[in-house]
Amino acid sequence: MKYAMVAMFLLAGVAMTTTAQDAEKPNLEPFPEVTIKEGNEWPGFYLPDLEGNPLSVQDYRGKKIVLHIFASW
Amino acid sequence: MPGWHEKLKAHVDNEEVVQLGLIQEQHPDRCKLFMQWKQMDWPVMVDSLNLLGVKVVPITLFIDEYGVIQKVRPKLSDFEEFRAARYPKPENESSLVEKPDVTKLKRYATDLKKRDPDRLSASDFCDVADQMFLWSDPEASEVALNWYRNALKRSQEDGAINFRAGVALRRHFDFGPDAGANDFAGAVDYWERSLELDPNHYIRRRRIQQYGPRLDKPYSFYDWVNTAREEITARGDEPVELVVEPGGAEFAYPDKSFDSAEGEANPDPEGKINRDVGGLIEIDAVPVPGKIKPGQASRVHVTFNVNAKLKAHWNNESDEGAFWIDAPDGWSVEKRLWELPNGEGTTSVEERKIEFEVRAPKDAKPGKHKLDCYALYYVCEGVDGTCLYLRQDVAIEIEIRE
Repeated sequence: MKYAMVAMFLLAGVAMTTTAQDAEKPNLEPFPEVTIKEGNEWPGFYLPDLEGNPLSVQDYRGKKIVLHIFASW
Repeated sequence: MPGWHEKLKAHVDNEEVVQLGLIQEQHPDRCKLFMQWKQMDWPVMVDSLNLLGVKVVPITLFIDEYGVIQKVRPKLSDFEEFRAARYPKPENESSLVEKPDVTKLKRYATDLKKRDPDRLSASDFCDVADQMFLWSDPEASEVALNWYRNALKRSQEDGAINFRAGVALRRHFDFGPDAGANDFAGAVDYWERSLELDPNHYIRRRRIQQYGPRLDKPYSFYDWVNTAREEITARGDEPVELVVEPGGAEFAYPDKSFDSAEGEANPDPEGKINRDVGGLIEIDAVPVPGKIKPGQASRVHVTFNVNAKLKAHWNNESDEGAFWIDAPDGWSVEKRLWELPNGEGTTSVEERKIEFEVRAPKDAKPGKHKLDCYALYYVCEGVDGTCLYLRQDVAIEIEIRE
């Protein structure tokens, strides 16, 4: 009986730990290291557009893209 | 960008190609006004945090149907080849990422807070901070900021996190309900730290210069805003309203009138600015005479020429260049910090030169003596190339005769 209770506590502990550590991780690693180099794949990530909506280069997969990285200043 | 827009307009209308933007700017609505002014209507992503990690702009890329970068910094004339090309499908085409889910993000952040903070890394905090910043209202920027602060407690010397904390704090200053001037000062502190950690980071440098004194300004950042508004109104349209109006520092033009008062400060005492290893600028120094007696003076003629083989050219839209002279002990120089004035137009290829006089001490020993000098300048690579802020060390030898 004693062993059964210890096992139950251990299992409960594992379950709690799992819940805390494995809370469904949202898309938190959308910015893999970007190496801008010919032949490299443009990594998939989303940024807000000028209206705040998610926008990604991958939204245009299947089309040729001319991408300008710039600033208005 | 307007040149590309004109060139590609018909192809975009025919759905042969998609044109996209990605801006490295604190205030996205200013880009929105710029796009309206130039009548460019393509989608633009906003990367105020510099998550992409680029150090310079502008950069144009050709990306094929499979998401593979086919050309970096192409010329307008390269487009036809890109348009006509058939690119192979990659063997390992990566899967598409999911769109961000703010509900999941907030739940994850709540759960993360319950964990033992000692077991969390800087990137644990930074990942959440990035997403909180991107997908939360600007009024709630302090939430992201607190996550960045926690990240910095674990990795104080991380330039990227310092920069992002500055961006979040500046946005808190602009939009936060209880923001004050200290927040703006704090943002600048974060940016300065991020630049110290990588002094060659053009985007970080620009963010400080945007608000900095006229002395340090390479050009007016937003002098185009009023012209844009006038022209948009003249077309019969309503200009995009800016949520945060540019301030005086952002409209101001460079003014070097204080150079004489502050001009003797060594601009790069620790030698952190990247060296011009490619030799974009060729520097020659000729002391006349080259051999002098103790106590005599020499006039040094220094010329700066762009490397024609590399099609380098001066970037006149940036700060003026500088030339710093460190003379040996006992030697005197009439002026240690010299300006290299910009030429005409936005870029140019003219020769630049300065002349300065140096005097040897009366007890100078015979032999060769070295002046350790260096030049700082903004130079562009190739015709459509990147513009860089570089340093070139120059050793000038003067011989003391018996």
